[in-house]
Amino acid sequence: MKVLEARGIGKSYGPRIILRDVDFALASGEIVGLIGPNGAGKTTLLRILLRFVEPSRGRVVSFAPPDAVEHFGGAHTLPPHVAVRTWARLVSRGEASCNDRRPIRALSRGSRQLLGLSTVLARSRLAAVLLDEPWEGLDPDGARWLSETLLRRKGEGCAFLVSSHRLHDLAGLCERYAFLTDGRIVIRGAGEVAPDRVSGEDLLRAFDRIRVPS
Amino acid sequence: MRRLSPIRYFAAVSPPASPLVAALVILAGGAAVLETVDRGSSDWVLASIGLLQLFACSTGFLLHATRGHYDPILLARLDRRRVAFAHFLSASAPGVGAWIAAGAAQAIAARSPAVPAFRPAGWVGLLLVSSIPWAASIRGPRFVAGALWLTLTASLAISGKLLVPLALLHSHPGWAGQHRIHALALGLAFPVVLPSLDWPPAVLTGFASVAIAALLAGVETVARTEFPLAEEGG
Repeated sequence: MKVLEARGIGKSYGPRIILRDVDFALASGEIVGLIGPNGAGKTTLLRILLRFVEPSRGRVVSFAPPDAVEHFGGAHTLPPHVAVRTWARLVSRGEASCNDRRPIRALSRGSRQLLGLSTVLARSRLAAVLLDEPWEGLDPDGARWLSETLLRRKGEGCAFLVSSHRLHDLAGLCERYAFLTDGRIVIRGAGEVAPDRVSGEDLLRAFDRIRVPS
Repeated sequence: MRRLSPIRYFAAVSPPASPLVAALVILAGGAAVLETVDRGSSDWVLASIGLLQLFACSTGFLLHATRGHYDPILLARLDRRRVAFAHFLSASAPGVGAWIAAGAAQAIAARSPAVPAFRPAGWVGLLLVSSIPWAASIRGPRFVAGALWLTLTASLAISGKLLVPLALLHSHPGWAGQHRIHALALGLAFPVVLPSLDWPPAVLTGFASVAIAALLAGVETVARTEFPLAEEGG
């Protein structure tokens, strides 16, 4: 069942074209990896899907119930002066418990990343979660927790669109991979990337094949 | 599952600067003390609260939104206009609280609710110094709208274009009724004097219209604005 759909999305900032004719759909119970070089427009695409940014062309359709789509854009998007426990309670709608009264700025980058992810993922009854570089700054335990949580929540029917440069973390988690290059999106199923379990090397090779003009 | 309340969200994530809130609390307390000692001696407190409100409401909405600080509330699928209005209420709440406290101290001392803070001119003045800086600062840095307004007022005062008509208005209350546009411009240039002067209803309606138009324009700006992350350069 579709949760989010982008139809013919284009985005330009002045003469700079970020996205061209992006068609993409996210369905319940799947994890889609969003892969592309710096400046490819991954964050812009995520923010268009979240309706924070208006596309120059095309439209986004959400089939999710109200307040059932979540997002975490990285540790730098957390307000530094807010107390950790206030943020946890607010964003998780009271579903995450935390007694840390320190301001978010007092946490290390990895702890801030973990706070942002854990409060978003603590919410029950989510239809879709869009994550931007979620493994950034996490230690090995945190990275393992995140991968296990994504798989568990996927099993509960939640859809994930995960943008990441950390191909080794992304590999093996996703049903499909969306490669973003030159403003265009190319979707490959896990089976098309590698016959068995997808590795980071497989993703790199698949991306190189897409980037080289045929 | 609880819904995310925009008022609660902004109160936690985007509170007015602590020194401003502390100054507002001191002013409200000062009004109570002054009125106890000498009835009617705290009129200047309202002007001071108005000045602080210029800065408290200059919040820089877009600056926070493009850093991602407002992502959860913007994503909660609420009407953006409701979110914007909640942000305005949250920004203006400390000033409004101080205003009501100072007015209550005056009303108790005077044994009458007809004190400057609670007269129509007082409420309209408070709305002006709240809504215009809030709306003007949506796309700008924090405090800048308040600073610009104060600079304009100071420039006009130094050039003599403000104090002479103010003295005229003070000594001849009928002047504002005969020169409505001039009176409107005067009040907008120096809004903190609104509570202490007599204004004809037509001019007060003009002030209220400007304040409400600014608020609606600000709400509409938030509803129609994009929120890319600042690092996107868009």
